[in-house]
Formats: sequence, structure tokens, C-alpha cells
Amino acid sequence: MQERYELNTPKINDDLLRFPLHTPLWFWLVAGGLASVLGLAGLTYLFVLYFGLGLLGYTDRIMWGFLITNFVFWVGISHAGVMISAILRLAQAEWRRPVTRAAEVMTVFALATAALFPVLHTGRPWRTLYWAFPYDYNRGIWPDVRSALIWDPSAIFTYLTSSTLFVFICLIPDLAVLRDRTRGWQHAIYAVLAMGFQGTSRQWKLQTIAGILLSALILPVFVSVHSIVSWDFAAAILPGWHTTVFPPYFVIGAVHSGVSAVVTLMFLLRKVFKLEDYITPDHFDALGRLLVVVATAWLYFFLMDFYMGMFGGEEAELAVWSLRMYYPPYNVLFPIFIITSYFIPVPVWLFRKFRRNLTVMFWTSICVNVGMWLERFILIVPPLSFKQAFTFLWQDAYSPRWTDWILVIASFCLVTLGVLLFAKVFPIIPLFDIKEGQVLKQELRIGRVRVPAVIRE
Amino acid sequence: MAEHHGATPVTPEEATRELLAKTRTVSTLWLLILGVLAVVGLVALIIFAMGHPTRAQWGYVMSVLAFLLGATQAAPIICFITRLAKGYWSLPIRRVAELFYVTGLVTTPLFLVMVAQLPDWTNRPTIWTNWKGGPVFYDSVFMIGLALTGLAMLYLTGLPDYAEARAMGDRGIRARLARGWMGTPRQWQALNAVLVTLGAFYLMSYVYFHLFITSDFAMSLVPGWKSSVFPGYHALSGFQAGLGLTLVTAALIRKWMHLERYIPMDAFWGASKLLLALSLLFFYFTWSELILPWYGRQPNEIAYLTLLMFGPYKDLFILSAALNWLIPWWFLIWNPIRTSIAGPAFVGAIIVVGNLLDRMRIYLASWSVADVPVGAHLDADHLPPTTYPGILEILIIIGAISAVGFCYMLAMKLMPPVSIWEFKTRLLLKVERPFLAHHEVAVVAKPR
Repeated sequence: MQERYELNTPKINDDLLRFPLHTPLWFWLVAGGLASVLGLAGLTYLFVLYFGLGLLGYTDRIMWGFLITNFVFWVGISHAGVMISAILRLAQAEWRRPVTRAAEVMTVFALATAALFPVLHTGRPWRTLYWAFPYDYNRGIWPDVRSALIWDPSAIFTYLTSSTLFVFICLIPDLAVLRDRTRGWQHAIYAVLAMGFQGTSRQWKLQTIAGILLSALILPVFVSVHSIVSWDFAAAILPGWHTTVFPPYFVIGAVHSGVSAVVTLMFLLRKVFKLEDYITPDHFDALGRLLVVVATAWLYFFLMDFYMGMFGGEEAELAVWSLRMYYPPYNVLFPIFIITSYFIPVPVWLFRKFRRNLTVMFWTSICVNVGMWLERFILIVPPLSFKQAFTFLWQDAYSPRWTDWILVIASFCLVTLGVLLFAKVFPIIPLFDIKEGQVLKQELRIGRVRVPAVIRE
Repeated sequence: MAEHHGATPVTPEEATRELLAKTRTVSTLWLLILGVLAVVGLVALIIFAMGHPTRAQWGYVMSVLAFLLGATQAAPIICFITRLAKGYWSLPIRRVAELFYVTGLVTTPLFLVMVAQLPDWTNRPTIWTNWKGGPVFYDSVFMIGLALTGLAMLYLTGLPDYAEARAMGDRGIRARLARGWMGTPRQWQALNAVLVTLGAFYLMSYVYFHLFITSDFAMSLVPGWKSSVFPGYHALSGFQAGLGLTLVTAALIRKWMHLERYIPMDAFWGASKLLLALSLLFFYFTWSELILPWYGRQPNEIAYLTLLMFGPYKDLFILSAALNWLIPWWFLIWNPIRTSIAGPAFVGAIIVVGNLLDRMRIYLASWSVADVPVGAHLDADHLPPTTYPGILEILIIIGAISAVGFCYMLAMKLMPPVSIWEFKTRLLLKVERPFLAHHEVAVVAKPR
């Protein structure tokens, strides 16, 4: 880390607790705007419930469209938290400190939003319970454990529970600070949440051990969630879906989009909350370098999927790839997807100058997620167009309706509102982590140069 | 990470003197033994080839080639990755890994022999579509390119050390190899840039080369086998075995050449975490390779799964899973094992053996059905029996591995087993300081 600001404890407390303890006017305006969109989406879904799924632009063959694409996309975004927080914590990457909590919080809200979409997609959400849980023991009616409808809820709720726990454990020391700085009902709530944390050495030790243990334990869950989501597709014997690379390809794609979303979020947090002393160009530089590696690994898996599509020379497989690449609207979407996911951002991120340019990083991160959303769409929808050799029509493309668009836009608003509300109630940058970073910070003199250094255990 | 062995600190001058002196202590007896074994292996290969063996019998030669291509050629990649990620824990073992670049001298000729054994290519599934010359021409070009890049990197990474030898009065081959290296800032910048660029190229080539190996030398020979995760699995298990091999070699060199002060436990500790991650990934990729075809239950999928995992090579599959995943995982989750020298080295040895067995499983199985006519289907109930090695195959395997050992030890006569310049870098970047209640903590610098 090249840029280091001298941050003392009072300054850290003042800067990072400003928003939770004081409410500016813009907060109400933004939160109100986002809530309005969500209200509109709620109304739209009531229409869908009343008139049926026909309002969502599905056809007889393409029964998985925007909603499932959106589900996969948000599960992908949710991989940011563990990647940034757990893996970088285990790897003792110092630059992670200001980034972790925002990533973890985004994980929780992205996952909750993702979990909503398969339920909406069923058209009769209340019946989802019948499919996912045993409901009549006497008659021996059990959910079908071979069904993705069982795998997904199991994986997602395990991940959601562990991610929430992870956020909470890492929040406890900061909750104690909030408890000590508030009065009245706020104090009472923070006191309950802080669970008596007083900062004794035993409490710190337990908190640290819990963080490390959770980091390690959450990793298998992190990998399994998107692997299981990929099996929703790959376990079906459908050309274009039934391919063994899907699990790692989905996971690395999720990390790619998730870490990019963290870049977007960090840019916005820095601007909105004026956190220039905490979120520095160094953090964007480090995230940029991480993204080069992740994006290249993602491209590798994409190419493996592509090469093996070509490898067998099977007619059906070639037809799906041909549809993805040469037939409208996919022939337009496919180049946009590949260019925005890799060929624009990665060459830019190779240059340090651009990695440290926050505006460039912001727009390239947006670019990646446009591409990654399209990737999911292209992976999911074209293979469904291929149903039977004699009946499929290339022209019969999936065409989303206004209802689809509103629900997709609303999902972005829901995650944004979730993160905003969290930041209003809790510090979005971990105070204790920043303070620890200040303590461990050192410098070494090498020749005539002073080099940033850090204490290692 | 603090030093845990209480070894006395080394000064830069002492390091230069001592490490250069180590190049003279390379055992001539071992060189001779390995050289003889390599020659015996070569003779065995010639006799074997003259006997017109079936393709199934070539499976053992292919297995050892794939093992060497994976493990020994992946080992140096660890240096590139840790160099890029500023993982300074790996500085003491980087040279141990980099010396494996010499493997190209053994694998390239062996590869050219094996590429000539592939069956007729007409109408076989391939990633080369209808390109003329594929796979024989393109694969061979890639192999030669990979080997040459590796040798170039080995030379470049040794440049500052040759110059040190020259400065110490060496007037032999090392002084000539040092050429005009004076250690100017410009030269250092150029060296770092070239090592990163060539390293990235080598890594990409290695990964793509595994796509070619797996598709041309395994999948295309087995009717119905098409697995998009398999090239990634092959490359990843190569990395895993490469790191395992580096740890075993580092532990042996440390012990036999008395390099305790130069190869500290930190390096094993850092590497063991990576090895644990790779072992878990091995399981993940194997599981992905297995679960989807098993779940799909298409006849061709069941047939190739039976061939590779549940049929004649079931024992090798179980052993491979145990040695590459289960045992490493079980050992490496324990901190006392990770923070030792013997623990990671032992696990590394297990993984190396496991990797060789895994390659045997893959290539014995696929080469056993290489003569099934193009377009025919594999019948899971009528698969060829297990191919067992004869004395010639055993000698070839021993000979190929010995040839690598021979080249490695020969290279050690020129280059110290611990890179002098990287060791000096480590001395600059890591110090110990008193801190709070601790007596001393390690402070690690992270320059840009």
C-alpha cells in the first residue's frame, strides 16, 4: 500500500459514524425514490399473480427468461463478500480492511434478492413451500431430492445464514462503539446487538477466532452455492447446458461480477460518504489486479465451454452455439457480452494509471456487470430455444415484456436500498478493522527509500 | 511470519559465498546413478518401440510423459504466481522450483515420440476442426515453444547469480553466461519486466497446452468422452503436483546441502496453505468431472465414466482420490503440520505419487481404447482389461524420471539451489522488531 493516512481513533470514529448518527436530507429522497420503484414492482407482480405468468414474456419453449437470469446474476454478485472478506482475510491481504463490510453486506442483500426470483418465477409463490419442504408425512409425500428446487433453497439459505452471521460477528466491536455513542432507544437496540462486548482481551480473541473460523467454513458454502446453481442447468440433458465445466465456470464468473460490483460500490461509498481517507486509489489498484486474474480465469473457463462445444462436432451442440453467435438478437448480445466482460475492462486494468483512476474503474466495473448479466442470459435462454429437431424456430426468440423489465430494475433498487439502509444503521466501513490496520502499519527503510510494511504473525 | 528455528542471521556477503560454494557440493555419485538410469530408460524405450507395441502398451509411456508435463513443468509457475502476488514467503524456494524448467529437455523428445503414436486423425473429435497438421504439428510446436520459454526463463533468472560468481572470481562458464550483467537499475527493471512477461506467457502456454494434451491424447481416443472441465482439471492437478514436487525437493536439498539458514520453515508454511487450497480444488474438479455425466446417464457418459473411474482402473481412481485429496486435506488442515518442514514435504511426496497414478488411470484407460473405430460406441459392459506394465515399461518410467533428476542436478552445478539475488531481496524486505508485549514480530515490506 503506497498511500497511508494518519488516522487516529477519534477521527476514525467521527468519520465512519457520521452517517449512522446523522441523517442528511438526500437519504430520505434516495430511499424514497428506491422504495417507489419497489412499490411499482410490487404492483406489477400483483398483476402477474392475477393474470398469470403469460405476462412475463415466456413462450412454450422458453420458460426460463429474465427472472432466472436475474436470479443467477444476483447469486453471482453475492460471491463478492466471501471473495473479498473471507479469502482476503485468510490471505492476510492488508488492503481488504475498508472493503470487507460493504462486500459482505452486498452479499447478504444480493442473495436475499436472488432468492426472491425463483419464488416469483413459480407464479404461485405460496406453493413453493410444497415443493421445497415435506408437507404431508402421513401420505409419504416428500420433496423430490433430485430436483434443483430442493438443491437451490438448501444452498442459498445455508449461504444466506452463514453470510449474515459473518456480517454480524464482524460487526460486534463496532456495535459496541455505537452503543457507547447513542442514547435512548438507539442505545438500547445497539446494546442488545453488541451482546455485552467490552473489548476485553478474551472477547477480542474470541471475535478474531470466530472471524477466521467463519472465513474458512464459509468457503465451501461459497463454492457450493454457485456450483449448485450451475447444476440447475448442467444436470439437464440439454445441448449447451449439459457440460462439466459449468460449476467452476459459474463460480469464477460470480467472483468476476461480484468483485466488479464491489468496485462500483466502493466508488459510490467514497463519493457519497466522503471517505477519501479510507478508500484510496490503492484499494482500486489492488481490486483491479485481482480482477485481471479473476477475469482471465473466467475467460479460460468460457473458452473451455466453447472449445468442448466444438470438440464433439455434435449437431445439436453446434446449433446452440450457432444460435448464440449468429442469430438475432443473440448475435448482437454475444459480442457485447464478451467485449464488455473482458476485452474492454481487462486491457484497461493492465495499466496502473487506469487502475488508480477511480472514474475509469467505476465505469469498467459497470461494464463488466452489463456483460455478466448478458452472459447469464445467453447461457440460459438460447439452449431453451432448441427443443426438438423439427419444431424449433430460430426466429422465435424470447422477448421480455414490460413486466420483466420492471422486476429486473426493481431488483437493483432492492439491493441498493438494502445497502443504503444498512449503512444508515451500521458503519459500512469496519471501525475496528481500520484501527487494527493502523496499529499493524510499519515502514522499512531500504537504502534511501521508505517502504510501507506491515506486521505479520 | 517470524523465524521459528532460531537460526543465526545471514549477511548478504555470507549468503553469496556460501550459496555459490553449494554448487560444488552436488553429488557426483547421484549424478552418475541418475545418468545411468536415464540411459537404461532410453535403451528400454528403443527396444520397446522396436517391438511394435500396441497403443494400449504405449499407455505407460504416455502416463509418465503426462506426469512430467504436469508436475515438473508446473513447478516453476509457482514462482511466477508468487512473484506477481508479492508472496515473499516463496523467495527461498523459488530457485528449487525454477530449476524444473530443465525438464523441457526430457519431455520434448519424449513428446515427439508419443505424438507419432497417435492413431489416424480422420474424423476424430478434435478442437483443431479441419486444420491440416493438427494435432501433430500444432501440439509439437507448442511443446517446443513451452520448453524453450522455460529454458530462457531459467537462464534469465540466474543472470544476477552468474554475475555474483564472476565477481567472486569464477572465470568459467558462469562468467560467460553472466554476459554484461552489472546490476544497474535499468538492468534490474528489464529483468523484472521480462520475468513477468515471459512468466505470463509460460503460464498461458502451459494451461493451453493441457487443453491440447487432454483433447488430443485422451478425450479424442475415447468414443463419447467430452468433458469441458477435464483440461482445467488436468492443468490444476499439474499445479498441485508441481507444488508438491517443489516442497519435496526443497526439503531434500535443505537437508542434504545443509541449507537450514536459507530455506526457512516460512516457505513451507506459505506453500502448504496453497497446497491445501489446490488439494480442495482437486476434489472440486474431480467431483464436477464425475457428477454431471453420472447424473446425465447417457450411454456414452456411463461408458467413459466406467472406463476411467469405476471399471478396470477403479483402484487407481480410488488411490488417486486418496493421495491427491483425502490424505493431503486431512494432514494440511492442522496448523502444527503446516508449520513444519517434514509435514508439507511428506504431503508433497504423497501428492506427487498420486499424480503419477492419476495420469496412469487417465492415459492407460484412454490408450486402451484408442483403436476402437471412429464412430463406434463404447460399451460399458465390454471394456478392455487393465493394462499392466512389463519390465520395459517400468524401466522407461524410471528412466524418464531419472533423466529429469539428472538434468536438474546438472543445472544445480551451475546455479545455486537458493537464488542469491532473491535471498538478498528477502533480507531487505523482512526484519524483526519488538512490538507491544511480543519480544519480536516479523515486519514485511511490500514495495510497489
